[in-house]
Amino acid sequence: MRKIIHIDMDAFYASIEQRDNPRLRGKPVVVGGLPGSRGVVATASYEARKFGVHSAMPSSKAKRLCPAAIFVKPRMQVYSAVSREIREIFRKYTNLVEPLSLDEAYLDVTENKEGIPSALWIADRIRKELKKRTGITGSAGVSYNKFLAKMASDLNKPDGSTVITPGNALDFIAALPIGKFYGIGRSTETRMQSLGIRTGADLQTKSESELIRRFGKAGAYYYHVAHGRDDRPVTPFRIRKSVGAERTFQEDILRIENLYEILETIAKSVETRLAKANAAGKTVTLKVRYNDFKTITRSTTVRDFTNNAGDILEITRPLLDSTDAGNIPLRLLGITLSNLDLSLDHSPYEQLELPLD
Amino acid sequence: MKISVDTKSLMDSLRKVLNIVSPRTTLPVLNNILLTADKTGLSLSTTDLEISIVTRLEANVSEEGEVTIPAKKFSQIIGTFTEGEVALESGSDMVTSIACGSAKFKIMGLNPTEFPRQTEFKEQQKIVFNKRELAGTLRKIGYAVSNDQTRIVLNGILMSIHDNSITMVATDGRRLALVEKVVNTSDKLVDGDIILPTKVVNELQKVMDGDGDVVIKLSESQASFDLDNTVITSKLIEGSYPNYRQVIPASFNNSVILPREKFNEILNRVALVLSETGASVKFKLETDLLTLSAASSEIGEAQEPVELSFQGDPVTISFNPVYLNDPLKNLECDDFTMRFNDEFKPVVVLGDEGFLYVIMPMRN
Repeated sequence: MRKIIHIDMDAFYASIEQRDNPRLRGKPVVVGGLPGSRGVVATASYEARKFGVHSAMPSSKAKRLCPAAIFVKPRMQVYSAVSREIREIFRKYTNLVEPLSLDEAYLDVTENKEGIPSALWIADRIRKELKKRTGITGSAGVSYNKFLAKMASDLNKPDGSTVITPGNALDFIAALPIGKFYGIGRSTETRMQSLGIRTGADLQTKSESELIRRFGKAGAYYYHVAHGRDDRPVTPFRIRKSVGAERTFQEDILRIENLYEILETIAKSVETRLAKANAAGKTVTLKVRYNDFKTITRSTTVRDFTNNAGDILEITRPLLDSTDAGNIPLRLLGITLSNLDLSLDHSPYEQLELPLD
Repeated sequence: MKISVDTKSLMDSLRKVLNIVSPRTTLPVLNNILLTADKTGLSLSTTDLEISIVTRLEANVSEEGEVTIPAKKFSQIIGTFTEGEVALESGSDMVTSIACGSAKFKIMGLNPTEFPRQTEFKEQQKIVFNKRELAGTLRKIGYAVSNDQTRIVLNGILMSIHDNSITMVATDGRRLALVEKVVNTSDKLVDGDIILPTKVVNELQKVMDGDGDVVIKLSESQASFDLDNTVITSKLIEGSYPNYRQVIPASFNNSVILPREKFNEILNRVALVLSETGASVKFKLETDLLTLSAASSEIGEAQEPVELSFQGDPVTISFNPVYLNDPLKNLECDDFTMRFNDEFKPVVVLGDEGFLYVIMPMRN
């Protein structure tokens, strides 16, 4: 049996802001776009969450819910520096660290560098060390697979650890509302609800073939996690499946010429990201969000791998023309390349690096 | 505010401040340009919170005042006027009336009190540069700045002051360009390092035309550039720049001298057969002969010999042609020198006075 820990930092961005600015401590703090802008909440402090403020909510709504909230612009550089620090702490125990984002990671501590037999013991040591070294608290979920560890870290937040053992796993899952399952988003949740699946217990009654029939490949995942099974390994390096970029506009844009221009800048940033990942893709997907928040995607798969902005623009322009862009104002445009070839990495040429430290 | 101003000079001034206005900003007033009219004339200000640009021009001011107006729209309108004078007038309603010839506009702005003002600038040191010289230096090293967002300090140009000499450095980790100059000044400059964001360097290059001086003022966290009627102020990049001296080899086994323009032509010609951006051109050196060659499976191959004086052991080194073209096209010298040890060690290019370039070869 494996020993997996999922660590999730508590209100990460907001906690860092409160750490660095004593005047924000004990107060509702919202990190993200400023109200009045069209930005969204990246992280809300626990004080702000009491008012119903949560991440991804438009900042203007957050301001309405919590007029006293102090809005702070994100300082990503600082957050990534703290993130590096916490990953260093994780690596003292195991090299099998899989970051999910700046503030979240899976650790496989089945065999750990300190030879500690109890995963809960490691989790608590890590939490203590996080607090001491970074001043930020984190919560831990400990279990025998990634899914359960992830679910567990949410149970004792902030600053707590939770263990799910093989003995209580099935009961825990049975009680879980379906929308809480990791991997079940809002639209899947709605579909599950319409099938009468409201909790883990409901999901446990469904057969694997039925779930696969209804949800495709994901159905098999739902079936297995419902029974407490998840074989996915903790992988320190994840293979990229797609590379993309998008822009939310400050004001809705109607004019197609302006949209073309923005499409070009997005294509250029996708090109830069592809170059960084040494990748090229065959499937180009355009994402369009209208001013009423309705979001659609259009994609094309081309014969040859493409990685330059010119080609991407040439492919996405007709896709944009096929939407209502130009007739209905847009608030967002995005381009994603998938179906990636990462083998460009094995180019016969290798540029040597300067011996800078 | 009530003023009239020459159309052409207004448009010229607008061009200087317009670049940093981003349509995608979180603060609406940053889309606007701040017009300030006082006894001395009109000034135009824009900022993106990192950089701010203020430029002054002559105007007939019959009533002093301040107003903001959407920058892009304002310049579009002014750009359509070809000659004569523009009259601008605004009251307390934040609407600016624009009149030129028989055309009349009323454009809505935002409250000028919302426009972010320059924080106090505590000047710690002042350096005077010749404009042409500074423009030349930036041109000779600017292309080497990294755009890799994971190492922010390399996204700027290092300006290192030491013993009254100023070294400007740019590197992306694969090549490094620097220009060193001794300052002729009776006062002792304060030693220290600052990192200028690329964005301000780009803006600077746009306004640095003609002769004259540029006065650089430095504070703890900002730099300002004072040129004629324009002042550009920028935040500095925080952090410490890597020790660039350590990548410059202390000694070399070999050295060759080549004609800059002619050689660069050959390099670019041979590189035409390459099909991907990260590919290399081979430099095969034998006694008194250098042969450049390149090949790709998609296009074909090319080679061209260059005569030179070389007496060392034969050696073949590969380079990304872009990384050599960059300095060669920006230098001014007739001949340049390449110094190297072997095919895997840093290679140095020397040319114009004070210029030094280090490039890593490619492994085939």
